[in-house]
Amino acid sequence: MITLLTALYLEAEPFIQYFQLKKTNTLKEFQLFVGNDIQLLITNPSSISAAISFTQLICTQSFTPHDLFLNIGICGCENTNYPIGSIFLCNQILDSTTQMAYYPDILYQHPFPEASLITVPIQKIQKKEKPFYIENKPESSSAHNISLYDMEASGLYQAGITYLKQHQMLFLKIISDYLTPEMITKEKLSSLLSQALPSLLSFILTLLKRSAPEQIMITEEEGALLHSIAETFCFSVTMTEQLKQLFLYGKTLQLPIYQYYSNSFYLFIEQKSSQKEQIHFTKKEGKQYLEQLKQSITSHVSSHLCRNKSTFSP
Amino acid sequence: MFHHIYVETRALSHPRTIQLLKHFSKAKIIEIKHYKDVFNRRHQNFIVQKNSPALILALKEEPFLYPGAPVCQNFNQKYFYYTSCVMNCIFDCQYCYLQGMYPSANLVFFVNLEDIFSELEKMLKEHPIYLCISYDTDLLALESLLSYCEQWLIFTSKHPTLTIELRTKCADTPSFKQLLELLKELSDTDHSLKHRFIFAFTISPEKVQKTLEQKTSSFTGRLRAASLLASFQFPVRLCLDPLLYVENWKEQYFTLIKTIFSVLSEENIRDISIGTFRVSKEYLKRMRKQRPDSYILQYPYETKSGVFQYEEKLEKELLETVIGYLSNYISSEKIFVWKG
Repeated sequence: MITLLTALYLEAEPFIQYFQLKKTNTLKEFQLFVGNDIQLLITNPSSISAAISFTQLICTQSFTPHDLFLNIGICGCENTNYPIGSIFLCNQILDSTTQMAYYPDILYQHPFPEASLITVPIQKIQKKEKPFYIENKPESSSAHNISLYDMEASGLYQAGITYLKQHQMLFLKIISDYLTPEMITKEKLSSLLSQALPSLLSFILTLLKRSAPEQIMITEEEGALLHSIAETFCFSVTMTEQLKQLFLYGKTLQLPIYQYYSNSFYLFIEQKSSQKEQIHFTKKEGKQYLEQLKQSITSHVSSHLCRNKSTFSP
Repeated sequence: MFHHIYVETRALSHPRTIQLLKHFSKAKIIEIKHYKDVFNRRHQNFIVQKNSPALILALKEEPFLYPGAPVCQNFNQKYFYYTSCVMNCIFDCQYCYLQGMYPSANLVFFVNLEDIFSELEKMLKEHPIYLCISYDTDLLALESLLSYCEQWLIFTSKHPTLTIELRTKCADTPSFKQLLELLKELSDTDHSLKHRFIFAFTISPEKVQKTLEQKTSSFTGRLRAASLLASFQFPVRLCLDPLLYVENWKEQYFTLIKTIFSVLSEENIRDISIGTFRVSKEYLKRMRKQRPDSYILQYPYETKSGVFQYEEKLEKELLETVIGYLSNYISSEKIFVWKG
């Protein structure tokens, strides 16, 4: 899943149209548009609003480490050598208010030049006056990097990194003006975004094609079995962890571990219940069961790759 | 090799920084205040970064030397220290503790090697030192970029109470051969040097190397490098560490040892270090999260004094079997065993 994050509807519109995204009411306070493998959140301008909307989205949905979040939007640029409409991927975000610097990982190949992005709290700049955020440019704003200015990235990053991994957030900015935002009209903005759209779409489509790594995890059904074994034997927290670890080990070896756990569990109960009126196990019996399980699974390991998996049985 | 290079502002003008930036002229350079601002960021994915690591150039601050950790083999050396002039490794071994120790897979090169030398010189005035320089990295693998092994060798030649261990999974690369030439040259005037600058090759069964030690030199390549040293009467250290419980392990370790001694003889070997897989509880917890599909990491290890290791019976079997194989070729005084 890729989530696009834009501050304005105008920035979102070309993507909503291209991916045929449909508006949902999942988030009451913010506009969310969804499609197949892609969705778009309009965060509204400002760092705080971006942080609130992004947090709300992350807390409402469940994401995996494979999912990506792309902030796409317009920005100002000090340097007039870079043409209006140039697209940059940002390798550092500087918060002009707190003077903090953030470094999102750039681990995917991309076709864009890179820049440093300074998030500022204001949009309007008085003509002929040097904006205060340029006067107070953070020290770590690199001499090696081009500086761009936006109003959301720092908030998005700070909110996102509470829940996500560093490589999951990417910040793409399109130069809209040379620190003269009052000159931007709706028409100019639309035209800018239309020009940038093919490059951005090509990049997004490449990211969508990435294959998700195979994940080894305990499913709900497997978790329920482990829970009932632990409960039946009155396992301590440590023993429950050992039971789970042994199960994961079996999974990494691609053994039919669920079947094995299940069979051995019911077999053990059957044997014991024939000797007892009520199925109640002592701590000693629990330990005995766990030890049997461990010996049995680890003894099959060294040659598991040479064996037919069906021969693995209690 | 590196797509992004983060450079501490204070390290920007260091000659090594200038040289490295010139070498990686296509990399994107990002100036930072302190390496920890990038290296210690929260929520980094070690495995994703490992596929495409960035480089960080920084100045090392005190402490420059650390006392050897209890999980490390000390070879009965009283003043056992290690140093990290590089953090992280270009190799990608599935069982490596670095993925549990560091929050990032990015490499940090500390460009101020001379500051470590100064500190070491002060300490050498107090007592002799046995120093491992390639624990948290594979320094030889970076020799073509940094020439740190060469610098260490020259430094060692000037300090007769210093013994260095250079541990590696490299083969007979051009950098290795160049280093060997220098060792030969310096040993002509100081015969003790060949016993004080120890090349230690971590050797694993061929299948382990191929499946669990990504990007490392082949088993035969490492053995070739060791035998090249031996051919000039420089004794080598071999590290069969960690011993791993893998499929057909007895057969694999038997073949490994047989092959080693078809190339090397006891006289060529300074000593052999062996130890089963062990790692601190906290590290393994992180390592398992990073590689949920690794059967080496997901093994149900037991904890002993905060260290995860094989259960006693298996550990004993692994060690005794391998020691048994080794005993056919080498005296027990030359075998150092790590025991938890």
